Amino acid sequence: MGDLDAELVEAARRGSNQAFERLVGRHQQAVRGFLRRTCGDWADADDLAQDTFVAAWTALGRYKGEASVRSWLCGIAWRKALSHRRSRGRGASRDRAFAEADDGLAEAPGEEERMDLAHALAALPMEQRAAVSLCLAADFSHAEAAHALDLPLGTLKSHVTRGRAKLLEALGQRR
Amino acid sequence: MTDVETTPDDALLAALWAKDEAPARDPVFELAAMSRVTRRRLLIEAAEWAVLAVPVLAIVWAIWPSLIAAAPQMARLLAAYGPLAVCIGAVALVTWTTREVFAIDP
Repeated sequence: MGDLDAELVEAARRGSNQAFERLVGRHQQAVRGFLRRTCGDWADADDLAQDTFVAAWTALGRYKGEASVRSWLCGIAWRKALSHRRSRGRGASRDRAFAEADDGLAEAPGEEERMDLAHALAALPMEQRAAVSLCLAADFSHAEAAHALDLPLGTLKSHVTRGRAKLLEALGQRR
Repeated sequence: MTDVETTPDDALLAALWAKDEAPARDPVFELAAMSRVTRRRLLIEAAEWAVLAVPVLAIVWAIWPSLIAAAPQMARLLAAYGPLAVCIGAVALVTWTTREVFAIDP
């Protein structure tokens, strides 16, 4: 997987549109999933994901290969999410998204639990939310997530541990 | 692979989060992302052409008196070969601008 990514990055650097398109196809799920959990608003998240790929295309020359491509892309996505939060005002869009999601969805089996989880995730500090999203929801290693979020490994691990405890506590309360 | 220790509770979290997951293949998203990339590429190319145009304009400005002096001779040349030059230019322009459509990728 890594080798193919490296080949695609190299081809995209040489100007191949098809290669970059394949990179988008291979990593859009990870980037969008991360942004959806971090931002809450799916439309905003998808918009940021598209911006992420544009920024990645612009920065192809600066990718050195010291981290996986998905980690590099999620790092760009993380910086986009942070600047989006600064420009939109903390929590406003996320609260609206959850309010909209509440309408009618809570009827489906498991949906209430999912909404509780989403609310609990929204209550976490943004770095903790991002750390939990990458390590628990997206199967990133601690090192990969630390690289993507530009955090020391110890801080990342602490975010994951604390975030997981808070989420499980929130889910446990309704059982 | 992940080095994060997982528990049954983590499996529950992952199962609940799986519903937030985007589809593994999403041509609509990929097309939208690539059209943004293409737009950015065109902007960069336009900026590069603009940067190139400045010295060219400066050179034209510098040699303008000589050009004016050579104008009658150039007019005769243009009358003879102008239409052919315009046709070649148009074909080159159309080929260059539609290379994406026909997937003529370097």
